[in-house]
Amino acid sequence: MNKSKFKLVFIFYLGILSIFISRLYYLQIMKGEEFSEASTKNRIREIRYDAPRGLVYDRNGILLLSNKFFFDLVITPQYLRRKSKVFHLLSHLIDIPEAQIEKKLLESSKLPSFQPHRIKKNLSLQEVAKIQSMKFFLPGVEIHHAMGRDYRISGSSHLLGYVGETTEKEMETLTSEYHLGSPIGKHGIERKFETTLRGKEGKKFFQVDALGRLQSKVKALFSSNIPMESGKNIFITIDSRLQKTAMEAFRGKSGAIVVMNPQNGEILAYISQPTLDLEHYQKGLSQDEWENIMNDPHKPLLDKASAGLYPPASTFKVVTALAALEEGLITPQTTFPCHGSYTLGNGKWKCWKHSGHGVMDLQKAIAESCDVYFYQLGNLLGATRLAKWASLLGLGKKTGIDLNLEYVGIVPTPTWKMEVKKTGWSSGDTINMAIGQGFNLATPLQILNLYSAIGNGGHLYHPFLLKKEISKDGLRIKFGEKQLVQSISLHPGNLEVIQDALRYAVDSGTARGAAIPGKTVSGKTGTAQVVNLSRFTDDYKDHAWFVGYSPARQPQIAVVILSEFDGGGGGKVAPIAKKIIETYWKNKL
Amino acid sequence: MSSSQDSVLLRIQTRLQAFPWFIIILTTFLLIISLVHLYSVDPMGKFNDQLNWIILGSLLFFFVSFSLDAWILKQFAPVFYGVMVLCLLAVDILGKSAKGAERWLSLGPFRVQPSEFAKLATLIMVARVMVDYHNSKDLWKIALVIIIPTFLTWIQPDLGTASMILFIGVFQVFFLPIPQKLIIRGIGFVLFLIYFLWEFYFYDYQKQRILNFLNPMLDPKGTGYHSIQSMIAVGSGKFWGKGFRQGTQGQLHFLPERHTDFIFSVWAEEHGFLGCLVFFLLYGIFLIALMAIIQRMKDPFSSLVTLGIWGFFLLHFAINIGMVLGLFPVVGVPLSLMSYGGSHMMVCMLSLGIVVSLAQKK
Repeated sequence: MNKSKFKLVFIFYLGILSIFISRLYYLQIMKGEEFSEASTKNRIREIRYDAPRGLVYDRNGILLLSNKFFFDLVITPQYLRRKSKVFHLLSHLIDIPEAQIEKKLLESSKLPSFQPHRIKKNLSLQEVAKIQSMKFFLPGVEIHHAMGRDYRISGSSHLLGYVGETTEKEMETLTSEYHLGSPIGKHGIERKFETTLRGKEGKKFFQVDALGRLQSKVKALFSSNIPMESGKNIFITIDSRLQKTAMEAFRGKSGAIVVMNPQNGEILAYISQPTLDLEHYQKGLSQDEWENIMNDPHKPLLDKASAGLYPPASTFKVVTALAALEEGLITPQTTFPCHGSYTLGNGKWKCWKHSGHGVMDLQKAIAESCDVYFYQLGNLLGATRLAKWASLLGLGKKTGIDLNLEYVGIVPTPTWKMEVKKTGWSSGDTINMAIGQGFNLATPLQILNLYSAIGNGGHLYHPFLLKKEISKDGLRIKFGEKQLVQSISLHPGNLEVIQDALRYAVDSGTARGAAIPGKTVSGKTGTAQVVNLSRFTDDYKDHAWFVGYSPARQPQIAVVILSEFDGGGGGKVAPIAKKIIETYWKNKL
Repeated sequence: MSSSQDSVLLRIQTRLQAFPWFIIILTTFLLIISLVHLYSVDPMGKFNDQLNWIILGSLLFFFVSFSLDAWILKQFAPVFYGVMVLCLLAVDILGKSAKGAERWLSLGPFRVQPSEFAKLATLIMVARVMVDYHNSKDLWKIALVIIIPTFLTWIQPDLGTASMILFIGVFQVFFLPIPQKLIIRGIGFVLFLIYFLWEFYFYDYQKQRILNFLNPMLDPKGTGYHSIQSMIAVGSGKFWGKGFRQGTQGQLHFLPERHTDFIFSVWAEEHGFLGCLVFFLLYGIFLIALMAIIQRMKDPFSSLVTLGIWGFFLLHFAINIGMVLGLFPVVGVPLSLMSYGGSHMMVCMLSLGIVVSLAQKK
């Protein structure tokens, strides 16, 4: 045999061996940690448990939102035996077609087989009992408890919001604590205090084989289970008694009511009608029910308190009045006659009282809501100065409640009109603006904030909802704090003139319906004309406003009511405000 | 009668004196490791099968090593070879009628994989033809001997075994005194053929398949799955290994073919870098011991056969471990004396029996 060829073969062998050893060194020593992780990923699966969300109490400790269990039917494929028999039996017990069970299992076939797959949500107690009694014949079938919300107060869907499943789009902006489909607060309190209420989900780790079956024969180490932490409880500024009173008084109407403490911006009641039935919503709506909601002309999904835009109408007259006083164009004693209409150039604007109010001073004009008086103030002021004062008083800006979608409304100016409407400003626009019609648009919350500022001496606050937040151990308390937007500097006497006028309006003016014996109330009504705005051709009624506060000096409660298509001016809704304010004082005693 | 009995005894006695005990001990060692790991991965059926095959194989080994002689082997090489070629043909024809890939032939209660035995039959036949080699004009005979079983196995289709038959043959031919010019021309021709096929013959999807085959990472869910899971198993063993029966990749079935082609992954996962070095050392000593036997042989046929068998063990080792470490495409080549599988085990034991019988001095 050829010796040199043996040598060559031997070298070839050594070469292969050294390649293998260096490869092993690379895989096991250099990349060992990485591959270790990969092998752990292969075999370890986690099951996540949603933590119970925090409870929500009202300012007096009355429970508004708690948790309750729902029953879900689940099937764990690993333990499922005699498939067709089980499906057949199930279809009889809980009224679900066999094909649908099969389909549901197929949909989630990517999940490991040890993981329970949800087949039907929200079983009734009878169904649960039926399943439990047949348990022996249903291997792999189980009843799971799912956590849901227990709504202790009805008709407050816009305030409370609801919990839904995290969507793919939301995932883009969320932290890694969220997964597709994990519970997340949507709208209202549930969204605003999501991080506080949420808690931390628990995790359990399992070892599985390549087919996803639970395996424990290998005792290799893996991370221990992570216990869940329930969310923190909060107290919100809402007074559920006021909330209920307002709701009952407002039943059947469409619009919004907000009650606030004008001294700091605490929201005491918050209603937007119509509302969603949260209990029903939680169980899942049918396609028809959804379509009904979407097509409802009264827009149950819209939070009208912060995203409903309405002409402020006569409630705006205090802005015009204050602007005219502050700019020094009039004094409280300045009078204008009202003959039922006002003429400027070729235009003629009517007062709501066609027979005319006669000679009016400022206080009377506000109390009687005389349009002609304010047409003249508007003409004196001009659009720009009027707009400046409207903005100062918080119109055209978000109040910053940050509860649901909030719109800023419109404070029209000549430049705005040029940009948006592509036409020039006319003197008629100013006249309309002065009585809160025309292009003016505001939310009930903005109007409430404006009147609160008038009542409290010119301080504009961010409305807020958090009374206190309790730490997990229950020992530490974090209080919500008032936040000042700005204090408007005014000549001392001017604000008092307006305040007196508003009190006069309730005592003997258009807002008489809100008067309470033994308590002072100040307020203003308004009628937002809908005719030229309405999208609903069969409903031409106007929106009714009331906004006011009590007592007349150093007020403690402010209320705004907007009732859509209610017609007939603020006189109709003033009694609702009266009920709310009465309830407030009754509880105060 | 008694004299013939005496001669048998005498013969056994002389053979025992020259017996390469070292090979037997090493083989026993490797077989025990194989059994232990098979037990670890699948204690029930496969362990028992393998145990039966090893017992059967040992009987075969002792029978062959005590009864076979070089001249008998040389005489019967063409018969053995011919029968194997016929078996391969039978598999091809029966397999086709069964509409699918078929590598097995049923012989009563046994299911035999003829292509495994073809490896041995071919290398013995090649050795015989090589003995009669005079000049390069005889090369075509050798080529024919190699190519017939290679082709028949390839169309089964069993690419792994076919390439093993070819490689072992080429390995043997390497020891012929072939003029350099011819070698260069031969290599040139093969390269040209590959180029030609690539440029003008294969469709794109076929090229893609070949690329995926050569680099499994291109298709991690498909052809690459085996490679990746094997590399995870090996790598996660780190220096000390996860411990006996604690290899999660193997135990929890993430590793495909963990009892056959990927038995070494299980070893590497459970015993780590250190265990792998020990295994290489063991296998290395085994190969060197075989090599030492060849160098003591005087008879050219015997040494050519043993050389082929040495190539058989080396190439299976190289390609199987390369495959496990993700250096070589997954082709289905077992690790001799370790992997589960009856036919391959029989062939290994038969080969070692032949080596031992040829090693005796006459």
